[in-house]
Order: sequence, then structure tokens, then C-alpha cells
Amino acid sequence: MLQTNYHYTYQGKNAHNKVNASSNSMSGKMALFYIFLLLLFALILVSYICQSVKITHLNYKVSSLEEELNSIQREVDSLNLKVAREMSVARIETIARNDLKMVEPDKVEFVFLRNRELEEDIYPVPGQREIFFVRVINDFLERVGTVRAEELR
Amino acid sequence: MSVYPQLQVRKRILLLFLIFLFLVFLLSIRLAWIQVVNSAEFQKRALEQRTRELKVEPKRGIIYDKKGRELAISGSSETVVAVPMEIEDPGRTARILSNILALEYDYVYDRLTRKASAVYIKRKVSEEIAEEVRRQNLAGITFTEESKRFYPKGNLASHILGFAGIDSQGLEGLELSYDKYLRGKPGKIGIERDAAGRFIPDGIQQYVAPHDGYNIYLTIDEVIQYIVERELDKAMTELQTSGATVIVMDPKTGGILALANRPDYDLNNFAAYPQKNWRNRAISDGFEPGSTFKIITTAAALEEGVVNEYDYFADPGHILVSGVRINCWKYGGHGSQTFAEVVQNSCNPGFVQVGMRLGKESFYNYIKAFGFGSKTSIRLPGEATGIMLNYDSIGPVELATMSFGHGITVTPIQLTTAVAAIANKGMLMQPRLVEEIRTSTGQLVERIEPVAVRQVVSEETADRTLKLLEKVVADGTGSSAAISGYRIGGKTGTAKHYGVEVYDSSFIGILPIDDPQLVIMVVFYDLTGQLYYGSQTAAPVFRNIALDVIRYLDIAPSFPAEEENKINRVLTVPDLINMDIYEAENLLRKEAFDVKIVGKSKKVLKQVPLAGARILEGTTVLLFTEEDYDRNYLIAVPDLTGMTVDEASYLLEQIGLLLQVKGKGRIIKQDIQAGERVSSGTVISVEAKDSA
Repeated sequence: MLQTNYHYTYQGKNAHNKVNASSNSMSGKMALFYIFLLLLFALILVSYICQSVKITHLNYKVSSLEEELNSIQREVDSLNLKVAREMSVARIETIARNDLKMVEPDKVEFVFLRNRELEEDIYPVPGQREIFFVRVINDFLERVGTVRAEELR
Repeated sequence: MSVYPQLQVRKRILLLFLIFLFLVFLLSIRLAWIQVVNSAEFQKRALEQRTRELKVEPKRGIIYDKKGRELAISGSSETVVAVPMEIEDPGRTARILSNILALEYDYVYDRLTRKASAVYIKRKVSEEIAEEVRRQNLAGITFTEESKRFYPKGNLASHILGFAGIDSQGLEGLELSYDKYLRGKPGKIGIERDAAGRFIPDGIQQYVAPHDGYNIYLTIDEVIQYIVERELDKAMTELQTSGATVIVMDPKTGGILALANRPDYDLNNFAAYPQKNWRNRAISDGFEPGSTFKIITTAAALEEGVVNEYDYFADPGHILVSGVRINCWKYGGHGSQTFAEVVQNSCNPGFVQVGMRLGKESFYNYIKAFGFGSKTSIRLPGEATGIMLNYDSIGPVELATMSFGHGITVTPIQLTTAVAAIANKGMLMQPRLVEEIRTSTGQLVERIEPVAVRQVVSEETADRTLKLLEKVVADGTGSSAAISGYRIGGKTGTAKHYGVEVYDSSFIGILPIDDPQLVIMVVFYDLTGQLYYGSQTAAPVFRNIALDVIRYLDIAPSFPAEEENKINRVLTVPDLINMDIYEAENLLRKEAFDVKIVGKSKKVLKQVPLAGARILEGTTVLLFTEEDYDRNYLIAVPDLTGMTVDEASYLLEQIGLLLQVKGKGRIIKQDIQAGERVSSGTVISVEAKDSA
């Protein structure tokens, strides 16, 4: 009975040891799993925070660039206005008269050239108004098509 | 007995249950109504509670001149804003701000102490003022940016451009009439806020971008506008006048190249000027045109054929119409003259006779056809129609005065447009100021094409009128407008205000006559002092403007008008009485006379000039076929005193009257007084005496 009990006890102890060993191994794995989960969670959290920080940072940058763009646009507007003011005819005339000492022409004389007189000046010889190459071709055709009296002999 | 109370309790419980069930049912229906049926509406309301919308102002469109030079642009400007909760010492802050911003202390103090989250102190201040306020480093004072209208050329084209108000809304001129194009469409920013009104960092943000206003391109040329305004300023210092107007128009398109009035105002500071300076007198104020209106009478008369250039008129210095004496501007009159000379000398009695020949109905129709009495559709606010007499109230005297530009009120733009029609081969064009409308990126939205309104007179009549006007500038009253090398046509005008020594004077010129490119109108209002004739005031200003504009536009000089070598023969008028009208016309045309038939009958009853009269070829011979049809063709009796009998006889023959002489030598007396209008063929009895 004792033996049996012992045996039983022994066996039972052994079995318990086996269960313990198995249980230890499981809890280690679980711990590792939990640690892994924790790390994963931490990693996600960190990356999320990093991303949020980065987004915030980029948002700041965007808003600062927008501000810069607005300021440049303001400057462009102001320069456009300045250019338009500086280009006014009144200012140009003042500079021309006062600084560059420019004056209006006193007297303008018009000389009229009548077309007829102009043509006579350019083409004193009748027929000279023909275009040059037309004249050359005509001369050539005339030379080819004309038989001189002496050549007929 | 004990069963009944238990039953009653159960019934009560059941009733209560049913009541609760009913209430839950009602609540469920309400919940379903809110969450299912009307969920979108409640979501929207909830969002509206959490979000706040800010309006984003669009940029107002730019106004460019013809060549793309900016005349009105939009830029950003700073507005001084106060946050009352953050103001530490309202009294001191109000004192400093009122000094810098030029505002009343009480006004600023009142705004600084208001129960509001933020208040405007002064909107759209200049950069210098904003910097000055910033330097003070006042607690609770901040700035916000707003769009502001700038006019870089100051006073230039002030009456055309007009101005925009503090909220960028058009208030005057083109800024008002083209506001729907220039204004643009505002955008909005929606930002989600918490219960305390703070921004929720990752909350909903909506942004609807604003649509900037369209840019408009004018027909105005900045350089021509400047030349006009410079010359106006010079003239204003030399003349005693209440104001002036100049309009430069391209007659072929109706495009206005320049339009200016005096007094004017600075567009950037319009509030500092009295409202009368804002008034665009070129389109809003009528004036009595005087002789410049004779251009209209001339064109109408030539078109109707009631007169031609060679017809003779007598001007004894006055003319009697229905017993009313109408004087010529020249004391003693111009004597006997052709119609061409009548125009050249701007002779009032001559024009009265021409107006009478035209008749009320015909003249009235021409005046209407030239656009008087109605708006020109220039698309500027406040355009007036001028004042024209009602048709029924026009009697002989009114007709007579209207024929030389009195008793009618026109706006400068109406007169310019009408004369431009003559310069444009008789075609009336609608005046226009805007050429194109484009988006801010340059895409074409609308092109405003020239609009032809109607053909008022024929091309031939327009050409003949221009030639007559050329003589006015070459040898007549408009000689102070002449420019060497250019063929210019024009007409001066002077109208005296009733009962006072105050005048409106004007000049309208067309150049060059052979290919009209410009019509320039100059008007001076309420002239007092020594200089008041159009030839002394407006014509020289026209010349100065035209001289510079010609150089700027590089308009080539024209050949001087060919002198007409043709010498018109002197012909004797045949006797046409009782002749068939067609035969009579053929005979006259064969003889190289011009013919005007008055009446509908087929037989000639009367003729002017009379048979036997020696007149120049080309002169109009009037043939009356009905008895009373010559009532419009009464002839002004000339002053014959001092003339020899031969001279008087020749003159009366030309104009259609007969002479009966008693005595010899020079005429000392005539029975019908000079200036009286009589029927053709009337015998004028005179007494002559040998001066020796």
C-alpha cells in the first residue's frame, strides 16, 4: 500500500514535474510573446508619435511656407504697384523735361512727294520699272527668237 | 376578498408598463426621426455649431488700358484690429491711435472698450501708418490683411475708372458698371472649434478657394489720356471756366481713346474731394452745343438735297422768324455767300434758312437718328439723354434756333458719337470703353466688338460734309485748330447762357479728313472773362492735343487738298413754269444744275432762282409743284442799301427775288426790311440815288 502509494506519489511527482517543466516552458513563451506584443505596441506607439510629430512639424513647415508665399505675393503686389506708378507717363515726362532736359521739336516741316514725280525720279527711262529678271528673260527670248538679217545669208 | 387588491396592483403595473412602453415607443420614433430620417440635417447643424466660417475675399480684377498698362490694381493692405479684452490702458491706447490714424479720440475709445472679441479700428491703412502703429507696440492691437484697390496713376482717367469702396465693391465709373466681372467670387475657410472657441488641432477644416475677378482691357490709351489731361490742366489755369471735357474717339470702331473732365479727383483718396468732382460731365451733363451742332444740320440738309455747296444765301446780320429777330454772331452779317461759305463762316441766318428748308419733321428725325435725345449705351453709370424739345412744341422759332445749335441740350458723348458717324461714312457707332474681358490667367471671357447702330446719312453726304468742315479749319472760324501737313475738319461752337455773360464753348475736330482716325471734342463750361469763343478757347486745346496724338500714333501727314481748278460756269436759269416736272428736271440736269423737287404734283408752279437768273453751275434749282409748298423755302431779304442797282439785281437773282428800282445810283432805301423772310419771286422795291 505504501509502495503503491509511493509509486503513486513518485509517479505523481514525476508527472507534476513534467507538467511544471511544460508549464515553465509555456509561461516563458507567453512572456516572450507578451514582451513581443509590448514591444510591438511600443514600436507602433513610438512610430505613431514620431509620425504625429513629423506631421505636426510638416504642418508647421507648410504654414510657414504659406506665410512666406503670402509675404512674397504681397511683395510682388507692392512691386507691381510701384512699377505701375513709376511707369506713369506724367513721371516719364517730368524726368524727360527736368532731368534729361528734353524739349519738344520747335517746328516740323512736311515735304510732300507726289507719286507721279516719285516715279519719274526712280524710273527716268521708260520701261525701266519692269522687274529685273523679267527684263533679262525678255532679252534672252528676244535674242533667241530674233534672226538677224546677216545670219540669213 | 384578498384576490381583488392583488389584481388591482397587477393592473396598475400593467398600465404603468404600457405607459412606459408608449413613452419608449415615442422616444424611439423621435430617435429614429433624428438618427435616421433627418440625420443629414442634424449632422449639418452640429457641424455648423462646431465650425466657424471665415470669408476669403477674392482679388478684384485689374483694369488695363488698350496697351496692357495697369490703371487699377488690387493689392493687400493692413487693417488695424483691437482685441478689447487684451487692451491694458484704453485711454492711452485710444490717444495714440487717434493721433496716428487721424481719428476722433471718442470714436477710438468707444471701439476699444466694446464687449466684443475683436473690433476694426481703421481698415486698409497705408504701409507707413501700419508700421507707425506697429512701432508703438500696443497691447491688444493687432493687424489683419485685406485686399485694397490701388490706382497707380492717381487722377488719370478718374471719371472713366471710378472707384471701389472699402469692401471692394464698385461705386463709380467702370468699377461700378463692370462690378460683376471685376468683383470675383469669395471663397471660405471652415475651421472646427471647441466649446471655448479654440481651434481643434485635428478638427475639420474646409477651404473653398476664392475666384479672382476678371481683368478688363479698355479702349483707352494711357498716353493719349495723359496728353488730354495735361492740356486740360494747362487750359484750366489760363481760362476762367467752371470745368471742361475732352473726348477722343476712333470713329471707325466707336472706341474711346481718352475721356477726361475737369474738375477731377484722386482715385486713391476720392473721399477727400467734393462729390461734384466725381461727376462725369462728358456723359452726365448736357450743354447747349451752339455752332458745333451745325454739322448735324449740314449733313441732314445735304442728305435731303435741300441745299448744296453752291447755293446762295443772303445774311444781312439777322433774320426774322415769326416776328422774332435772330442775329448772326457777326455784326452786320456775312452778306451774300454760298452754302459752303455759310458753313465756313458759321453764319446763323444761313443755317436758319437751311433748317427751315429741311422742315420740322425731317430735321427732328435726323436729330433723333444721330442719337440725340437718347442714351448712347456707353455703359457708364449716370448717362443723361440731353434735353430735346417735344416734337409738338417745336414751332418755327424753335426750328430756327435748333438749326444753329441753340434750344437743344446734348451731352459731349452724344455730340462726339454723332460727328464720328459723319467721319465714319455716315454710320453711327455705339461708343465703347471696354475691349476685352479676360480671366486672371489671361483666358478670353468676352470680346466687346464694335456695334454699328444705323446708317444715318449716305457715304457721299458724309464725304461732302467733311469737305465743308475742312474749309472751316483751313479758312474759316476753326483756323486756330489747323496743323500744318494735316487735313483737319472741324467746327467751333459758342453758346451764351440766357441773361448772363457766361458762355459754353466747344470745338469738335476730325482728322485726317481723307481717312478719319480721330474725332476730338473739347468743351469748356461756364466761361467768363475776355476769352470765350470756341475759336479762342477750345480750338487751340484741340490743336495741342491733336499735335501730340498725331506724333504718338504716327499718323502720316496728308497731301494738301487738291485745289479744284474747275471754274464753275455762270449759267442762266431757264423758265420752267408750267413745264412737266420730269422735263424740267432733265433740262436742268443737262445744263449741270442741281435740282430739288418740292411737292407731289407733276407741273412746275414756282421756281427758285427765277428764270433769267445768272447762277453758277451746280447750284440747286428748287421746283415747287404745289402752291403752299414753298412755305419752308422763304428767302431772307438781304440788306441792299449802299449797293449799286446792278449789284443788287445780281444778288436778288441768285437768291430768287426780283428788284424794282426807283431812281439811279446807289440804293438808299428798300421797302421790305433786311432779314425778313419772303416767298421766292417777291419783288423788292428800292430807291436809288446818285451819290455824285
